[in-house]
Amino acid sequence: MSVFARNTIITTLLILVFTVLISYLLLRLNNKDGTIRNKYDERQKIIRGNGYRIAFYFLVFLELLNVFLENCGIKIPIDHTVKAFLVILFSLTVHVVYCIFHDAYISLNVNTSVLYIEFVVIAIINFALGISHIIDGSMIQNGMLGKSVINLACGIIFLIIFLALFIKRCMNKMEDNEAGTEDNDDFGKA
Amino acid sequence: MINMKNLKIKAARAALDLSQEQLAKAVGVSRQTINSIEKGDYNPTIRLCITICKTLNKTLDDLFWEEDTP
Repeated sequence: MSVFARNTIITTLLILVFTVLISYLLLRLNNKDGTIRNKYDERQKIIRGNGYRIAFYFLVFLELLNVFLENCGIKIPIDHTVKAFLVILFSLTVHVVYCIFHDAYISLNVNTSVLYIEFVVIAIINFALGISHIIDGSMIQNGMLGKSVINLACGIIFLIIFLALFIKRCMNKMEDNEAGTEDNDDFGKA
Repeated sequence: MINMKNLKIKAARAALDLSQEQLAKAVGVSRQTINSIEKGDYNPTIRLCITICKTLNKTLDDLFWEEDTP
């Protein structure tokens, strides 16, 4: 085994351990009951299933589009590893945004304020890293977008998710106000 | 299929002076799920129907049975 391969395996394992640890801590922090398991009701589970299905088809579509473009001789100037990662990120975004707009993203036991703060912090950190990569010129390697573009992509995606959550929250508040009026109409209290 | 509003749940909830949020918490679902059931957008499972009935002190017939209209 070459030194490069060994280093890659060690780095990947370290990243995995770090990711699992951070995820565990964030889930403990997010959930009101201190568990790491998000609880969803039956309607939310159905919607989330639909979301996964749509995201899966979107992922297949992006992969096919990539193959089609390459076969047509159209080269997208993005590193192969980054391209694979971006396809996964975009597909996950489709799932998350779908679930948000169908009220199935926020679990029953989550502390929404902590979740919003986390998303903003993660977006800011990734944007800062992305911008620093642009400034030091490491974003483009060998004429292609390199691995450092992932930070910028993560920043944009977390911003999109935060905006989707914010818009949905406003929509729910408007709906609540309308529901109050509707209640009065339904029972003739107007 | 036309979605029918479930006014019976709404009425039973109002009779007990419960908000959607309070009923949702009592039966262990999200407020949006109760809203969807009342609007007729979501058909709950029998398990959830029973929980709602028990919480609102009603029977399944009271809340979920629809008489055929001629």
